[in-house]
Amino acid sequence: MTADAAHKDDGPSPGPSVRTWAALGACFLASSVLLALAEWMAARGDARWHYYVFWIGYALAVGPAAWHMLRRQTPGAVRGALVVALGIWSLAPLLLRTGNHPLLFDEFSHFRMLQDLVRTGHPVSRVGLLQIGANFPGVELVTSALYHLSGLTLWIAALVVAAAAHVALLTGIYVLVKDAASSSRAGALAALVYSLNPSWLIFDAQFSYETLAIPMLVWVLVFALRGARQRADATGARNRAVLIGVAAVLMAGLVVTHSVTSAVCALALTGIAIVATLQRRGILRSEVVTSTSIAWGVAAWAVVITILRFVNIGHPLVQYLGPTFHVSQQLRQLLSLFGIGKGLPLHAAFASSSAPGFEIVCAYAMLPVLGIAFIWASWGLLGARGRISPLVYVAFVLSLLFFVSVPLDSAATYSEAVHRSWAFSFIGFAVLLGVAGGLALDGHLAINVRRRVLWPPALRLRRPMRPAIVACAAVVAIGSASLGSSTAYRFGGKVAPQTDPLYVGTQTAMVASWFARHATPSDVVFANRFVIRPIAIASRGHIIQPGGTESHLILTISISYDELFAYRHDRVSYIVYDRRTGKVGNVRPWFWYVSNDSQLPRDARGQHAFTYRLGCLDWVHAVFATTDYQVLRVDQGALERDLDLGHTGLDKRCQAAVFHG
Amino acid sequence: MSVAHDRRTAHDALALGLAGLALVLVAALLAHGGAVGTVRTVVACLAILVVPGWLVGRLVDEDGDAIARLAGGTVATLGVIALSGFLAVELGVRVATAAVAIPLLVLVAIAAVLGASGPSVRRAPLGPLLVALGLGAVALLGAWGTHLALPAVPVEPAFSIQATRALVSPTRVEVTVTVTRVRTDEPTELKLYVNLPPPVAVAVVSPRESTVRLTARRPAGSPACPSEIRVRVVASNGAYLTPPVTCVGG
Repeated sequence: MTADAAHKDDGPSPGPSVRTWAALGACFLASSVLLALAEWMAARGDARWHYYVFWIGYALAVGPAAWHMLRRQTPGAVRGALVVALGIWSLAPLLLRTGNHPLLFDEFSHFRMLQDLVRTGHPVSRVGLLQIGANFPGVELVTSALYHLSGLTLWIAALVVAAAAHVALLTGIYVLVKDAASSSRAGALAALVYSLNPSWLIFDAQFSYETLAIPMLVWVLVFALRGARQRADATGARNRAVLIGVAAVLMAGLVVTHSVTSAVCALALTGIAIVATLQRRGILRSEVVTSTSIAWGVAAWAVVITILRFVNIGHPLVQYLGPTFHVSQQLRQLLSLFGIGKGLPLHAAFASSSAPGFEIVCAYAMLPVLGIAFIWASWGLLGARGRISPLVYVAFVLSLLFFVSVPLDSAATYSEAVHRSWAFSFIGFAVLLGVAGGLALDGHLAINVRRRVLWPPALRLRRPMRPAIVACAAVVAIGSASLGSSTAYRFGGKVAPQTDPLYVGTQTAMVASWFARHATPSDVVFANRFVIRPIAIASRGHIIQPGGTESHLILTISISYDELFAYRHDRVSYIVYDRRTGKVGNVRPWFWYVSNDSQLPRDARGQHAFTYRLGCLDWVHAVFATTDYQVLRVDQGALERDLDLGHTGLDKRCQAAVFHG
Repeated sequence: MSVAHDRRTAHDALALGLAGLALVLVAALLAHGGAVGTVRTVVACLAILVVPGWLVGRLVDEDGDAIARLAGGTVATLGVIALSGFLAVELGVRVATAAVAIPLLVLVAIAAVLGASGPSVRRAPLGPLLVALGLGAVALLGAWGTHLALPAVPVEPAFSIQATRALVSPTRVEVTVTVTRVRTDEPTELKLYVNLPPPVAVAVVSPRESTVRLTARRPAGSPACPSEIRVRVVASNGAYLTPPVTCVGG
């Protein structure tokens, strides 16, 4: 099919009646009320029922919207409206969770970067928060623009940018597939599939660089593909130039916004150019005419500026992304699944999770469901390959990478990166299933094995298939949300140390507020990876990397002078620690954020922490304490004296007296 | 609908462009706070998220789809802002109002000129977009209203203690501890130590007390002041303070 054909289902037809819109409004209202109720129940300590309330609320909005979006009679404009409405509705779970301040791990990092940008006028990286941040300041630059021009508070400006990007992402998927399939129905189906992405409801709605970068990627693809569409007339040539210009500028904006997304975008554009060339040369049979010169031009631009940016950043980027893209380690993990060699330390997807059984079952069941859907769509589109856009081939590869990534999810080292990659894989699923589903809904998809027709199914099977497809979609929706974010990200609950973001509570607010009143911009704070975040956005002090040499003072069996020199060298003025470290539950040494265990001295790799030492050093003074946190002021003069005299400053009589409680 | 009504002309692009330029300038010049601040917020949101996006969107949308036009145009605008901000930083320009407003003005001007000089574009009905915004607003306001209507969730009980210094005279040791509480009666007791146990003073803290003064006679034979003297206040749950020592008198 060609995208410049008129959208076959966009003809003038009456949209839903006022009564239908009112019913949809009532469903959205009831849904949001239930979402708020679920969050309230969870925050009050409910352990079970809030999940059911949440999913009923989810179904109340998504179900009717999906039904209207996929009905044959619904006009294209109404489908688009419902995609936008669904995008706005999907902001509710995270807004209810975070409220009027940053809450999630990445939100704190980006918010501090935003504060620094507004104060200093240029991006600043805090190694202790996000070491690569200042090299990709796009989201902060955009938010600061809104802040400067509108006078909104910083956090509200951040929410507005994240919300606009989130809604634009779903709309972008809709437009991308609507163009590729010449069908708004296919576009709407694709948007629905993308909204099942594990990161959709929480992670990709937060104030973070991916939230802006992924919609940029999708819209670069939209503009580039529209630009590469073959046209003959002068108007077409002019529009093409504008489209290519906009795609090129947006790609440049993307390159300064997020590293991995710009690389994925460059690769996707290159893939499109390769497929367009193969189609043009007849190696891939196709009726679709895509301008190869434009496709290659845009791809080359994307690749060149991405490489230039990466080279310009250099070592910090390698250091940041290196562990994630350690191909030999990834191969090792994959081979270990076949019994070849030893795998990496494992990570259990639902270890100590409070997710209910039905969510965990759905999380595992969604893998075969997605697998079957992937095979069905790929097989079906194979028969229609003469009519499909180059984008579909790229989508096939992106979807396939989801299945390759799943085994890596079981390795602790890659778990987080794998989860983040699913936002891209689901672009693939959305395009593949959107295009195939659009064709199938219009009765144009056929799957035959020899002379046997597998699709469309026999008439007697069609009626029972519909509820089965809805059930499969529900399994993916539930499983995906459950797998994509921890329960602590999705719902509030009792304050818990070392649990992101449940560690945020009265005590972290007390500590942050104390720093807001007492710390100066020249102060340097060393704290664990959790409490440092509220402190970072409440005060202007510098942040020391929680996993730096300073942490060894607390983690190693004996004190070495290297650690003391680190406190002096980095001019640390405050130490904050949680007295529960090493004592309660699973509060382990990596509370101090050591991403790679090999960075630690050998004797620090146990489960012990020696935080009570801090109360017996003569160069620190405990000046503030909460129920569980201690704030210590470092006396650099006393530390210097101790180092000159060759002392550690530890009062062993004090240690013996065990004042630490 | 006739073709004449279905197509937008150059005048529309110019009018919208002028409106966009005016909005950016007004937003940049209005003051913060009060009613003027509210106007500024609305105007700036239009100037960043709506008007440039619409102007850019109409250049890249041939289908007359208002939703695609606005969403695509807005993302493109945000991309331009990110890029221009980055270039400003690279050129050593401080990112502030001017660094935002000037690229926006240029973008609006270019988009308006291109829109006015190019062929007419299909009219994009705003109805579906407004319905979508209405449905979304219902959802968000419903969630927010319910959140506000439900009883507040009890917050984590906690307390804090704070002491900026310990006063040590030849005969006495004195520490003033500030106590704050959130839904808790802790700390029920504070103990004062000078160097080593046993405690030299114990204070029972009543639930409403916010300042506790711990005083004790300086222990006989305690070391020189201040370098070797260490004062410690320990709460009943183990929270402690070791404030810097200030020597007075003698």
